[in-house]
Order: sequence, then C-alpha cells, then structure tokens
Amino acid sequence: MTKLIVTKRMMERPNDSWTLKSYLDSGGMVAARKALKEMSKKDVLTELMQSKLRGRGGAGFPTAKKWSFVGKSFPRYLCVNGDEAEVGTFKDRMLMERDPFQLLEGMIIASYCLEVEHAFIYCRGELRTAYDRLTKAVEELENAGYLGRNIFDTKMSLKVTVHRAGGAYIAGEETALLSSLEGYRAWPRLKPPFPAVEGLYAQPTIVNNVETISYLPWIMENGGKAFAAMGTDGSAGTRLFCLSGDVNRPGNFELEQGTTFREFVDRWGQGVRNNSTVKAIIPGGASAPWFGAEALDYPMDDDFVASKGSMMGSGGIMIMNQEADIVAAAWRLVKFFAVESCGQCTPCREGITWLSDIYERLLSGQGRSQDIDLLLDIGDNISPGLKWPPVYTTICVLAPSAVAPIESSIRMFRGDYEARVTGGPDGGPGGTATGADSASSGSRRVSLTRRKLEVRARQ
Amino acid sequence: MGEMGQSEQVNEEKSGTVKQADAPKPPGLVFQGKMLERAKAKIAEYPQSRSAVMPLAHMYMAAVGHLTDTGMREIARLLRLTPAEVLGTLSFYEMFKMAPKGRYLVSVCTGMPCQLYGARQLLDNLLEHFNVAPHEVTGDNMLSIEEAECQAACGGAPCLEVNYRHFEYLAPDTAAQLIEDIKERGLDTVLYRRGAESAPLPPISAEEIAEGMQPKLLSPKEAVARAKAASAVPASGGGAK
Repeated sequence: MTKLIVTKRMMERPNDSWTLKSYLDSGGMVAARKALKEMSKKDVLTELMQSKLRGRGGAGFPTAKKWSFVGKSFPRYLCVNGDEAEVGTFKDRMLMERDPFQLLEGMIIASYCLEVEHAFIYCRGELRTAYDRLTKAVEELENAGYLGRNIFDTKMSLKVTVHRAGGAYIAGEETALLSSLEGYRAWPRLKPPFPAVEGLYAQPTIVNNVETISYLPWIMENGGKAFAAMGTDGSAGTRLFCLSGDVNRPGNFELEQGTTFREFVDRWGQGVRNNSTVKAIIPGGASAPWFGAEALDYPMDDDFVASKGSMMGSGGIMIMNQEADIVAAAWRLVKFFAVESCGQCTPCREGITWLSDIYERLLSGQGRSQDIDLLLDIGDNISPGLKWPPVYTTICVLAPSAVAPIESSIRMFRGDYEARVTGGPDGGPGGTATGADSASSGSRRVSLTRRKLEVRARQ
Repeated sequence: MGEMGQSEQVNEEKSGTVKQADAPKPPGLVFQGKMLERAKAKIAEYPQSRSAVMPLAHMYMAAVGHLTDTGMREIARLLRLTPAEVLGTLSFYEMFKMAPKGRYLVSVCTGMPCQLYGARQLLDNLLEHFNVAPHEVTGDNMLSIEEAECQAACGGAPCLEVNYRHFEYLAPDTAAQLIEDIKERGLDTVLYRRGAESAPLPPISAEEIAEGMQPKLLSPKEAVARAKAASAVPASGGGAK
C-alpha cells in the first residue's frame, strides 16, 4: 500500500496530473461527493479532528481546532494561502502547479464544513504557471458543475476566486494576507480579533495553507484515523519536506513525519554535496533557528524540534556543508527579512536593516571586534531574550524570525564570525581578511580613526 | 504622483535615442472595449471592489508594460478610489513596476540556497554580459535584469525567472546563453536548461518510492522515543538555551 498522499497523482501521472480528465480518471472528486452527500458538517470536522492534521504553513496549529473557532455570523470566507515565499520552501508551488484540482476539491470540502460560499486562493504573483493552471482549473470545474450552484445536487454553492498577488513575503502572514486581499498594503494586524472571528471584510475567515487543504480529500476518503496512524503522535500523517542547499539531490519529498534528518539527507537527498559533511541544518525555513550536525539524529517532528529550540515551520530544510560560508549565508537570510519588512514597526524596519548593514561591514573586511556582540545586542532589542519561540516587540513574527539565524549561527559558529573581524576594536587594517568578498575591498579597508584624523587635518 | 512623473521623464530621456517605434507606449485609455468588460468582470468577482486593485494593475501591466500615472488614475476611477490610494497600495508590492521594463524581465534569485550555488556570481555575470545595471533597460529595449528574493524554487538552485517563468538548475556560466536564446527565439521555445556544471539530478525511481513506503527498521514513533531518551542526557550544544 502506498503512503503517498498529496504527491501520489503527480508521481503517477507526471505528464498531465493537472488536467481535469486525468484528475477524474484517478479518483478525483470522490471525496468531495462523499463529504457533501453522505457526511454531515459535523462528521467532516470529526474526521479532521481524528486525523490530527496540523497546519503546514509554519505555525503548526491543529486545523480542526482552528475551524472550530470560526465565528457564528455570515458570510464566512475561506482563504487559501498560496503566497509561498519563505526561503527554502517550495512545496505549495508544486502542489498548485501539478495538482490544482486536489487543492480545489479540498476547498469544496472545507467550504462545505465551514458553510462558506465564497473562497479565495491567494496565489503569489511570481508563480505565474501556478496562477494560470489554477484559473483554468476553476473555469473547468465551473463548466463541469463542480463549482457554482447546487454542487452534486445538494444545497451547497461555492464560488472560488483566484487572486494574483503582487510579490510581498509578508502577505503570507495570515492577517497581512487579508489586508492585501482587501486591496490594501499587506500590513499584518494586531490579534485579537483573530481572523476566524473577524477576518476578511471583518467577517469570520479561515486561512489555511495550500498543503493543509490538499490533504482533505484523502482524509475524507480514507478516514482521519488512517491519517493519524502515520507519522508520530504529535505530528500525524505525511508531510511534504523541501530539501535544498548542499545536498546531491535537492527537491520535495513526501515522507512520514518523524523520519530522521539523517535519513532524509543521506537517503532522499543522496548525501551531502562535494563529499563533505553537514555543518548546519535549518529545519523549517528561513525563520527557524539553526541546528548543528548533531541534529542529524533528531526526528523531523514538530514537538521534538520545538523542544530543541527551533521549529519545523514550513518544512523547508536547508543544509550547509563544511565549505559553506556561514556568515554570508546568515547575512543573506537577514537581508531577506530586511527587504521584506512591511515597515509598520520600528524595531523591524530599522533594526533588521541595521543588522544587515553590520553583516555587510563584516563581509567587506571592515568588521570590528565588537560587531558580533552588537549583532546580538540589536537582536535582543528586537526579540528580548533571543529565545525560540520568541518574545515579540512587533505586530508579527517577521522581526524575531530575522534574529533567529543570527543568534543560532553566532552561538554555534562564533569562530567563523571572528575570522571575519579584521580590525581592532576600532576597525582598522589589523588582521588578514578571509573570503572572496573582502579581497576586492582592500582599498576600502581604511581605519575609521585614520579617516577621522584625515578629516580633522583638512579642517 | 508628481515625483513619479519626473522619474518617468528621466527614464525616457536616458533611452530616448535608442527607443524603437514598437516600444510599449501608454495609449490614451487602456480600460476600454474588451478590456473594460474584463476589468468589470474582475471587479464583480470580489465582494468589495477595492480588492480588485492588484488584479487590475496586473491587467494594466500586461497591456502597457508598466504602471503609469494615467493608468493608476484609470484604476482609481474604476474602483472609486483616489489615485493616491492606488499608488499607496501598489507601490508596496515588488511586481508593480513604475518605470518601463525591457520585453524580458529577468529576475535572478539570490536567496540563501541559491547563493550557496553561486547565484551572486550568476547575477554579476549576467549584468556584465548584457552591460546593464540592475533595474535598467538594455539599449534595444529587450532586457531588464533585477535581483529578486526567493522564488520558491530552492530545490532547483540557482534559479531565475524570465517574465515570471521559472528556469532552474542553472549555473553561473551558462545563464547568459539561456537569456541570449530567449532573446533570439522567444520565451516559449526555450523550455528548460540545466547548468553545465550541475550534474543531472538522479530521478526518483519507482523502486525507490516503493521501498521508501515500506515500514522502516526504525518507525517514526520509535525514532522520537529514541531521540527523547537520548536527549534526557544533557546534549552538548544541542540547541538548549
């Protein structure tokens, strides 16, 4: 018996898994028909509860619990979060491109349970192929009578709108997504009120990740217990793990949760690139604190990874081998957050940009010995205590996320940072610079003190 | 709005001498006839018309190439907003370009996994090969190159997008040839290209899939139990804070 769930169809039908014909030929719409005709709304929620499915967008909140919080008023909305932009995560794009009907069937089931008549897919603008296929899929389903009025001759009607976004990472935060969908800047909102009570157009709204919704057809067809039988107690079922970085075969792999990192890297990733060994592991997308090589024996399980001070997050696992430039890698992640900050909160807007600037000073060979502690100090102002799960000084979790790679990489690889410090406490051409970036910047390596003296001399 | 108009003028002056007749030019009114019908249908899809601001901007960009002052006024009129509200929203998002772009917009991802595979070098090589600065248009109006954030293709690093179509498994030294091919033959004919340096990825075989689905020696539940037992002993530097 196969245990592939969301990637089954695209593995079996690599050439046409995204067409309606292929979808219906391979058992498509059976689950939606079953749910709408044979199951009550309560049954659907019960199955989901038994499946122990947890959200796959990053926070890992139990999906059934989220649904049970939905407010009592109407209209209600369902928003599927397809704004995938977390560094190291590329599963939703694959699901939207290769199996759009599976997602839409999941949306029909979810809308039935939540009594939603208008559902949205918030598709990231840069994913043009995904948007095109989703739009076409919605049209085909409308023409075939699977969307619209009286689906499967029941009282249910559903309209699906595919919304093409404009390219902003922060729009993946659920309240920012709602702001963006309403036609405003993608600014996160303070919670409460939670979207389940007051979301899109101030109506009860459920926001779920693409992968989360894609599991629904299988769960309704095979039962929640069959799903919960896979994986671990805390993290039931399979999960689409994204493997990238220094491995021989990067890609998406659907595996049972609880598989160890070692098996994931050695067997599915076919080992570390360039016959090297693992130096650092990022277990759950750019926001997650890093692990060292000792984490290879950890299981990929939400609760366990959380107990070690990081998170499985969005399931984007990045591997760095011994040759990787740790400081440059951390800088690029920090810069990502600096670029993508929405600008509402000062610690994030100013702080992360400042952190990124300090990294650039280190990388250009002008690092000062106090810069490493300065990074931690600014980080501590953004996320007091440098803990994970973090303490916020901002509306959303983007700012503490930027601090996570800094804190964890300095804690584990302080030597790599110290090798970048070339000057004394005041800067200056003290030591020798390492790395390619600093080679070209030799002429810029002028002591700040000397520069001050020159300025004074000119006056 | 005034500021934006100025920057447009500057851009036109810069490329004024080489501007071709077929370069995208904002026509009088974009949302008219069929386009207006499509726009109205789009607005009707949403419970509140303001939600259509990004979809309409995408439609306008597809027709004109970039967002102009007049375009944003048109969108504002259709949605009963002020032009400032439209600009205020759209300027937040990366994809809405307020200055003319080349026919092919090349967005090179330099995110962390791509950086590990030499994306920075790839971007530098491209800029050097086509002799153009980031966000500028080449003399023949064909190309704009920009540095982009993660494009959800980290498994195929380094990657880039041409008019938001993905090209993965590139290499720093072959990307320029890819863009030359696209320039010469059009985007639709160039489907896929791997870098010379990157070895072809071994596909996942059917046996491997079947094997992977068999119960493993250590079940996930056992793995968790074992790891928990192991971590009861204080681990050395194991992320404990």
